[in-house]
Amino acid sequence: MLKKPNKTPPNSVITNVMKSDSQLTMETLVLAIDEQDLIAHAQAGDRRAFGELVCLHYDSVVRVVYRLCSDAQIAEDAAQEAFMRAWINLPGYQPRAPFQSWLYRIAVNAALDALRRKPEERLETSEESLMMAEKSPSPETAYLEKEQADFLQGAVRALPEASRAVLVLREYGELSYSEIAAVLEIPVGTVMSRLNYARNRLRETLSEYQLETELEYA
Amino acid sequence: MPEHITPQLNAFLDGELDARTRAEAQAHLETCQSCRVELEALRRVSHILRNAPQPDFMPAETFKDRLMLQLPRRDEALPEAAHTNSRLLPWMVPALILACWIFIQVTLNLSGLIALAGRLGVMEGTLAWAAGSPQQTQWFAVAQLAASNLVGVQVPIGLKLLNNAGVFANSVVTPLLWQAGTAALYWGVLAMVWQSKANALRVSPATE
Repeated sequence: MLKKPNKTPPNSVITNVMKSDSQLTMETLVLAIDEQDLIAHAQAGDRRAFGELVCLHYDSVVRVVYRLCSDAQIAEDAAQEAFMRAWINLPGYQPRAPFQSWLYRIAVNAALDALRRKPEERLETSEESLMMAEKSPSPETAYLEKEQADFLQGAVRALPEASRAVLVLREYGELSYSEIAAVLEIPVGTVMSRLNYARNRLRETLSEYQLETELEYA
Repeated sequence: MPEHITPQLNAFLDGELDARTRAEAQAHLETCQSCRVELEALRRVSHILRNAPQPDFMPAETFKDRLMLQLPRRDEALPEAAHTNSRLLPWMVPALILACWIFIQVTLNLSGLIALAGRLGVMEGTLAWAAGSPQQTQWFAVAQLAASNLVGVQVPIGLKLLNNAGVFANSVVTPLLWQAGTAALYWGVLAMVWQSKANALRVSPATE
């Protein structure tokens, strides 16, 4: 049996506060109030307030978008498109849903639109991927991490859009099932089945990779 | 041994099970190696995904500065009137059809009432011009006239039955067909509106 979803509070930061009592600090609460304030000002047309909101949410939005697109340039473009859409539609935003979920919803749609426009250009080259992996502590670890991540990233790209969006929102957006359901406007049961499908596909891909590696070194 | 809990493993991994189900799953995992292996594989997938390297994106401040340069004026980007109109327009069509249907129904019912009142003499003949003669069709009136003039006998029973069928069709079947046609049109348009809304949701946020 799934946990019952909480009543949606008016603000994403407040949601985070409610998730864990240990996180209930004065600083977080101030942030929550600040964000509400920023949203209200931005809704009224204050660009500076919107800029602050962009700074607050850019990292998480671009991370989610990148995992959907697998291409840094497309991800940044899609993130820009998402924030522009958010700016235009902000007066219509109602704090029934957390602001971050609302942003994710726009970002997922912007990312999928971007992919549909440029499907042939979206693959990250292996070299770029290796450069990313070189940040790891040792060359061996970097190589292994790159190999595994490449395999899984390829499998993520091959997933149907619907399953990929659920997986990315869970793994990189760190949303709960009920939040994902709200973002994608699907039932929680569908979230579960899509996540099951996605992770099982990735697990199979990982098993294939391990088998290939073992054969290679045998 | 109880059945495997494979379908619940993802929810278990993500901490999405309620306390009781979680305790049951935990108890099962202690005794079932197959499910433990499965859970470990899922956990590993999740771990690799979360720790996969990602490129260095431009700093948030730089991104914000660039975005601010391209941010449109809100009123230019989305005039409120046009926005409202584009939202309302699809719903106007079924609403218009519904209004037409209500008008037709009210007209039919009123004309029926007037005809009935005329036949019963409630209005003392003042409605004779409007009541008409709903009890017979035009061809039957002609046939009745011809039969009485030429043959001098009453119209055969078969023709009477045909007349009654015609009257029945005029007074019941025709309005029913109108209603069925209007209802089909109404639901068709409504279904199209829903479909287009569902498609729009797939590619753009609800608030757009």
